[in-house]
Amino acid sequence: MLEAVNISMDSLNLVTLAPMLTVIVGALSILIIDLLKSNQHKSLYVMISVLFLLLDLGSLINFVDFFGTNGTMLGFFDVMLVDGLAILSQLIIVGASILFIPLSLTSKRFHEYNYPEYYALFLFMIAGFQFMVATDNLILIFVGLETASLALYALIAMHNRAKSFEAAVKYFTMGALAAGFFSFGSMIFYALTGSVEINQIASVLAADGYSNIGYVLVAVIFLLASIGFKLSLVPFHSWTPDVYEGSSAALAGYMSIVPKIAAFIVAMRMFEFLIHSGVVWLEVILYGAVILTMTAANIWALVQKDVKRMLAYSSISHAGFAMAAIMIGTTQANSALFMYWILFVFTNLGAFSMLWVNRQKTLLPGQSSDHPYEKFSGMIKTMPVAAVMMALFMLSLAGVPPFGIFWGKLYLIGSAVSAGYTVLALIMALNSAIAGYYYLKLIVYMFMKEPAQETESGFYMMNASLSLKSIIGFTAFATIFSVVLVNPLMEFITAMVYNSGY
Amino acid sequence: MEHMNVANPYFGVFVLFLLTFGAFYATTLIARLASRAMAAKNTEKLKMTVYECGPEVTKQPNRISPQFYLFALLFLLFDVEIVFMFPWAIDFKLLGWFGLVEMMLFILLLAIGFVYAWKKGALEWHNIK
Repeated sequence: MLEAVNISMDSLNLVTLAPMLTVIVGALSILIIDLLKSNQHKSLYVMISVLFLLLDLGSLINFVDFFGTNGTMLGFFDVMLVDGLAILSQLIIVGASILFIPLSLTSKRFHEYNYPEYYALFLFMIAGFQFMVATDNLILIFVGLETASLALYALIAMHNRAKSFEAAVKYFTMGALAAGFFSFGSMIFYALTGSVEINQIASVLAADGYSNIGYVLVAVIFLLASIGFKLSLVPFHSWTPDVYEGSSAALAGYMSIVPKIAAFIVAMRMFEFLIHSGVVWLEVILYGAVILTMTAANIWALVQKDVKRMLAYSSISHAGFAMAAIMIGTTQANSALFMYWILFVFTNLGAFSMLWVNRQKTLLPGQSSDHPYEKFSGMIKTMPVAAVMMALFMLSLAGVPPFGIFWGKLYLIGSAVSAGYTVLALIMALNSAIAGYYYLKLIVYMFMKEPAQETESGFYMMNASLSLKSIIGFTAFATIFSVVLVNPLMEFITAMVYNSGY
Repeated sequence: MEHMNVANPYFGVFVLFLLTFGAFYATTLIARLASRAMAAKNTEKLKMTVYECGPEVTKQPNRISPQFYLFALLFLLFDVEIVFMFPWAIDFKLLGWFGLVEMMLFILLLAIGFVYAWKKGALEWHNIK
């Protein structure tokens, strides 16, 4: 007779699960409320979501204190791993979600926001992303990735237009392929090293001296393809513009931020030890992918006729910028990635919310997309405040000095130069200059052209309600005053990243 | 001596083979360019529908009810969940309190899902709210 398993609750360290459990309980309570009393107004569900996300944020802030004194926490049979990277990225994920969810309180009625399932799926998705970043177990990463992705496909399809269904099916088929690649890669690593924990894999491979280099290469190619799909690096980017075009503008903005930071963390944990292993091939592959992503996406963005597709390509290019930090791999570069992405959250969410505010229910006559450049011509004459806001976000995305993303680019290029990647820094600077063209093109349309069609007053703010305006105002505020935010934030990020050993 | 190689009986066939490749490529290229240049790019209603040799598309009379898929999905879900309970039941004494609490939480989550599916009318025929 075997001994009964005796597990003490202290060894489980259940507090590491607290952030995810909070949002899962939130999602379940939304479903139960709907069962008990259906047809509630959507503002109730928005409030419940925001409440549980704030609780989540509170537990993360508690982790920050704990990490400062005790260091990395392990929990639940050492599957959960709460280090600086996990805390920082979860702060970004939850913060961006709190900014995103009030965008559903539009003044026009949209189909998907009247379903309580929308909010429940949204919270489940956040729990999935949080599981993905707070572990170094490849199986839990996979489960988190799939939880989050399946919820996201449903959220896209709930927008209920032909293009949304197309986008959801495209994303689903490509995502299923990427998930398959992820499991193939994990399988090969498991076969090689007998472990699914990334730090175990690293130590076994290092002790082995990378003797099975061929198998490692195959595994890395699989993982790079799946993570590259999530990050929309260039050979795997083709879904991005179509999916962004099909989903609602608010959700597209969200998709350009949150799934990518989760994938960045996985890439950082997975590729950092491989880059520093002394075997150069991964660095070469990533170098190529980064440069291709930055440059090609920029050139495609130049020829787009729709502002939303332009922003989709620009977000691919920004992802290439941030991926460069992972390739450089110093503490300074990894901190710069977080800095860049925090500033990108505010600016990009603001830009997509500006599109969301002026989204009409049906297409304009003679146009095949929601947000062509012509729609914005002469916006300064009809809606001056909105035009100035949009211009602000565009200038920030282009990296014009006082605004948000400039500081992210500054730190990133600085870290590239100090790590000796002078050519890469030069290419990044050149790409910022190319990117200026298509952001300024929108500003030229808004400020210098005559209004093309008879736009009645309020045309550009037709969806605006108080909550949308406050979100845009907040993101604009953060974009303008990032200059005072940057230094203390950078100190905080560097301490977190350095103490978790990246 | 040089043209001995050329005098191979299959040389002519090889040249024709190459020419065929060239001709094939040129033909498809011309066809593609010409059709792209001359195609009518309007999107009238009949053109965008499913191709059925001219007449309007008719609905298929014997459609399969989506309810079947819903039943199959729900069955699969709860079936697989039951599979998890057998090993737990066999090792119940070994796993002790920890296993019991885990399984109770698992069943609670399942019960919420089950009540949700029931209340939404997924288990009734043709009555999805």
